[in-house]
Amino acid sequence: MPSVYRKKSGDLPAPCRNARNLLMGLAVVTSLLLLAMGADLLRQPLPGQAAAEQWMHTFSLSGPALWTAGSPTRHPETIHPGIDLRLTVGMESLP
Amino acid sequence: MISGKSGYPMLLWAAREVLRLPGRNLLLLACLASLTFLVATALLLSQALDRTWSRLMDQAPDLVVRRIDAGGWAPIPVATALASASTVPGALSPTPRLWGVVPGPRGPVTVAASTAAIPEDALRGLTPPLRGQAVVGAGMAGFIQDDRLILDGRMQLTVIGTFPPETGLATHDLVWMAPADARSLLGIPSGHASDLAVTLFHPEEAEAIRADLAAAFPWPVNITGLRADSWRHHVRAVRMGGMAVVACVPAVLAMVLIVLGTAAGTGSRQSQWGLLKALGWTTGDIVRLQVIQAAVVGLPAIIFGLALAYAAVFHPPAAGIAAMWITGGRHLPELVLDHSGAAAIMLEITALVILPYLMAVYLSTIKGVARDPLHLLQESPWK
Repeated sequence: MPSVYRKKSGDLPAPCRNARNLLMGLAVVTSLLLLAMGADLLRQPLPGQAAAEQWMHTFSLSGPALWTAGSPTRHPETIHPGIDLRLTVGMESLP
Repeated sequence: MISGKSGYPMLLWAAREVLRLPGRNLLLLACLASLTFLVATALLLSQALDRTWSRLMDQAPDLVVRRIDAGGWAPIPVATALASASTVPGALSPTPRLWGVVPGPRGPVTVAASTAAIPEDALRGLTPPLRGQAVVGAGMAGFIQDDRLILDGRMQLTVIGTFPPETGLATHDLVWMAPADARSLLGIPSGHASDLAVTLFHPEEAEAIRADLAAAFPWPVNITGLRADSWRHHVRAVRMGGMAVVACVPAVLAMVLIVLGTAAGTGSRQSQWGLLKALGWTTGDIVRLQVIQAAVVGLPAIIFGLALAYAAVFHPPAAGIAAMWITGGRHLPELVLDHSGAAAIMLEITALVILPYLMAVYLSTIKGVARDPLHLLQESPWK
């Protein structure tokens, strides 16, 4: 005889409903995350990237702007072979 | 009897087992997600920086020729420099550059002027600055008041535009001005330039062509090869990824030890397994249940960790912070990194974390459950 707590034959017993909800919740959240990452990965080319490369080419810049202007990492061509960098304070405005 | 019936009933049972100990499983999920996040952030950022730097540096000149004299750097005469460089085979499109570094409102800025006309499609809505005007990078836009920019305390320019923030990796602190203004600000006479950028037909020949170029100019020059700088960026990025992998190994081992010590080997678990075996479950059923239970916690944890790492590396506000933190550079709020190859890295990280984790659960469960049900039932707390 079926339980009175089960309205339909396809219903899960009460102790399993939380488990089903947990599984469905995890499946939905992880699927959404995977879909979002997949959609982002398929987005090519990134608009900002192409524009950054174009400006890099236009001005023939030597390095990315991740480091401060005037530093040797940013402008390696400014490292003078004959001048100690410790003595160049104030000379950074020279070409 | 569960034997032979895998799939949904077993999955439901595993989820019920997870809910029986929600606190412990939540901690395990947080532990796995944190481990994945830390490893994935470093590896994805390393890969993304390497790709982005590589693409950017492909646009940079191969060699930069700068004139030197007894006082240091000297402006280079454009006509003579172009004529000299054109005599060297393999040195293509020598381009005079008008640029320099000057004090801006909040620190040094890079000023540049283009002596050639810029194609319309490259401008993307920006107007080339005329005399007394400037276009500035997004990093400086916040410091501009009333569209006035004062450089080196002596030149005042009207700001007529801002480079798009997503181009910050090239233009963050760039000030684009008219060539006449740049000459005036940098002290470069007419007909001269700051230096000469040279692209090579075969970049691999840079070292050989440097000597030819140096000999071709009528004055002493210093030639810098930017390929070496590109290689330095690559090494920096790869080293960062290598350090992340090295740091990951003890973290994964620690996680496996935790799983071996707590998740599958306690007395209460063994008594429960004994009860299940007494009810007709086989060893295979119990092992399958434990592995599915571990996957119910582990797979979402890894996906959460990967998603957080992906957002931290490729979502602009967080990407700038992550790049600043790892490279020791500057914060670029709208940093856009190249995400090609990220899918392969994420699959590798998933395998790196999930396989030892599932293997630890599998082996420890086999070791614990392959015993007589009576012995299992006699374990605590049924004694």
